[in-house]
Amino acid sequence: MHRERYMGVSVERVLREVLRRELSDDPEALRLAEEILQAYVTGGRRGVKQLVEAMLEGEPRAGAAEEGGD
Amino acid sequence: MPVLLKRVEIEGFRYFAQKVSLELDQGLTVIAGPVGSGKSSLLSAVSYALYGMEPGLRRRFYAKSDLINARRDKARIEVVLKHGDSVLSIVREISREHKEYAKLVLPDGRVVRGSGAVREYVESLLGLDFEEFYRTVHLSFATLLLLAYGTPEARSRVLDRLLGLDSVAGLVKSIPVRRVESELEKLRGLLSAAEENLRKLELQYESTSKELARLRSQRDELLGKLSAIKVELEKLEGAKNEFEKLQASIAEVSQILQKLKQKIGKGGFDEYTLASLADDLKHRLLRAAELLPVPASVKEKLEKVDPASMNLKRVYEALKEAHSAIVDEFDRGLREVEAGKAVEVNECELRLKQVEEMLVNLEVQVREFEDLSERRERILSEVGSEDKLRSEISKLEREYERLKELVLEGRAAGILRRRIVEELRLRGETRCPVCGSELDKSSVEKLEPRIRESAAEQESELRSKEEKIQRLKRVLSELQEIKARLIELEEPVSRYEELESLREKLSKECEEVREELERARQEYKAIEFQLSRAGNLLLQLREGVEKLDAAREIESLEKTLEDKRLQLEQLLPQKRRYDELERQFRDLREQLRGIEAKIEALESMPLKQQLEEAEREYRELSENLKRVENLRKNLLAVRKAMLRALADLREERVRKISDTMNLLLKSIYPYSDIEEVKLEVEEVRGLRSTFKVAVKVGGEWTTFTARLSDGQKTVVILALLTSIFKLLPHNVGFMLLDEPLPNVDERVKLTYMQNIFKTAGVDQVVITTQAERLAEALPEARVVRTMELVSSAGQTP
Repeated sequence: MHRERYMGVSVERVLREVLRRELSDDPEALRLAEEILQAYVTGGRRGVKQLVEAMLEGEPRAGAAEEGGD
Repeated sequence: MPVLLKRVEIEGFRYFAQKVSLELDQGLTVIAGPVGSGKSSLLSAVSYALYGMEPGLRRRFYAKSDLINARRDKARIEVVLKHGDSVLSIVREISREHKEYAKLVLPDGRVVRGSGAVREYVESLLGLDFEEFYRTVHLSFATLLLLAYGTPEARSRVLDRLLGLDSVAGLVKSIPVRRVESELEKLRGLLSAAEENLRKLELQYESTSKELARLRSQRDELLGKLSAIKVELEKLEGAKNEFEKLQASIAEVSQILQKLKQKIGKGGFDEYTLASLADDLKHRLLRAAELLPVPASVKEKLEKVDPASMNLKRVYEALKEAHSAIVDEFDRGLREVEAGKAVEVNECELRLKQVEEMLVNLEVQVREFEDLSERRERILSEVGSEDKLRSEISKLEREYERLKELVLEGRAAGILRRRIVEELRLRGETRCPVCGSELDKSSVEKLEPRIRESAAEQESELRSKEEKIQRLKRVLSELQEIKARLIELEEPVSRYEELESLREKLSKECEEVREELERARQEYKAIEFQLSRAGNLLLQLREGVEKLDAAREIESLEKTLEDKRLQLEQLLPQKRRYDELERQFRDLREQLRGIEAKIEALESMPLKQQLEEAEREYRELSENLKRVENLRKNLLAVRKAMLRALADLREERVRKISDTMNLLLKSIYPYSDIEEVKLEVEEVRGLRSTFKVAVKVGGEWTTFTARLSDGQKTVVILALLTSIFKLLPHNVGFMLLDEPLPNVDERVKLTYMQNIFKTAGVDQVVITTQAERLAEALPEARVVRTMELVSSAGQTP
């Protein structure tokens, strides 16, 4: 199945690095930023909305930690 | 290590109907050929093999099926990549039935299948997605031209995209802070409502708990009272039972008294009256005993009875015994009389009845005899004697014979006269056949009346005689029959007379016996009367004795009753106390039931559960609120960081691109008229940037579109895109340049081709051009002519 990307691979890499730098003193916000970034890359605006809705519902967020190590 | 192209194999794809294969080494490969010889198709095939997409499809110039050569049903592309010492192979196929097939064989032999999976692997391997690839690696004149001649807004959009700023801006915009804030508001509202509900329930719970405590205290108090009353009731229970027993006993005795009183009735007997009655009875029994053969012992006993001195009950028993013995004797004697005289009477009457029956049987014959005798006498009185009758009959018979002869003669004379009259009427005259006399018509008148007269008279007389004879004969016959019958009946008549005499005798005898029986019965009847009277007296005596006993019992029972009532009176206060306590006990127990029901109802109320639920809900909402507040805080931090990242990225990239563009321009553009070039951010509106490409010409900075020629513009854009390619972090070691500079002179083209490796920092460049001659001027380049490629595959160009 073709899966659309909502952000270029190179930009994603750069953005990850910038975010790590910017949020180095706030690991919780950094984890959230990485989750949002991942959701956006794979699902775009809708992906982020779904992620935040799930967070509002208090659903467990699986996979956030693993994705942080890219 | 950057990834390089090793081999491209195409069959049925766009221009190439037949299978063509192209080996690619490091360095520059120039694909040369005239217009429409498949140069762009070769580069497009590489792009499609890697991403399942190519520039024309991306811009929707055509559909995927248009990628298949018109003479073929399917297209197949294989691209072999070199990654260090490893080799990867990618195969993609598309058919007219819209079926797609994609496979990537990894260096270790593992296979990745599926179009999306292969694309994802390539993205990861090259570090670029298709958009980035076709804007920076697979450059075509069309792309350059669009950027060079497009509006500043369109150019800015492309640059935003290529620099990755648009996606970062999109990412920032996608963070739904407002949604989270709205959720926060909602949660705060819910929390406030939950807090209010919790407070209300706490108050309710507190009030219910107090009420429960009050009710439980009441219940305990009632239980105490009930227990005390129960103890007192148990103490009084003996007296109460005694009271109730006495009550029942009084009722029973009263009932017996009532019955006894009813038994005695209004009239009573005293002992004197009863003794007098007994004396009368005794004398009546004695009189009856005198008339009957009663045993002497009975009489003696009876005589000894003294009602005046003896106990009346014993007197009654003795008289009853005597009465019974006398009645027995009476019955026995009466039975004997009935058995003797009555039998005699019956036998006599039976005999009489038999005689009478015999008389009745003979009565018919006697009656007949009498009737016949009377008849005979009457006949004889009419006819005289029997002999006289016989002589009369004889005389009449003789007269009859004589008359009969005369009648016969008369009949003959009549016949003769009729014949003579008939002759005379016929002929008028005739002769008498007897006497021979002559006759004429005058004789008719004489003869005619005589015919009828003489015959009628004689015959009438004859019939009269005959009837008389017959009648007399019948009388004679009857007399004879009566005589015979009378002789027959003489014996029964005689017997009847004897029986009649016997009947009279028997009748007298029966009458005598009956009279004797009647006399005996009258005697017994007189005794019976005495005995009946004695029986009545005996009953009266018994009743009197019984009533006398009953009266004595009533007296005793009334005394007993009075004693019991006295006892009852004494027990009454205790009984009343018991009843009062019992009533109190019932009332208290009823109250207790009510209180227990209330306690149960309150205990069963789900208030505690509701309170716990409300507390839990409040806790959860508080936690949720905290969580969402934290989420908002983090989102804001993330958004801020991303905005900073966007700004930094924009600034950094623009700066780097500007630097790289100048370096590139110097190496690929052989003239000095463009002194400097730079990329600027003209305006940042919200999250979107407007870029400006400026050039310094003749010492003055100006927009590149204002002063440059078309060729120069293309070169500047090519430098810009190549800068971006250099800037982007990726793993691509090749560039695909599809006729990048068609509108520049050969010097520029040549300079570009010679320096592109150095400036772009790649190991492999594949470039297409129509300028075959120019390619030959590059000794380090490998030139591939598409016409030869096609011809070697057996395809007609």
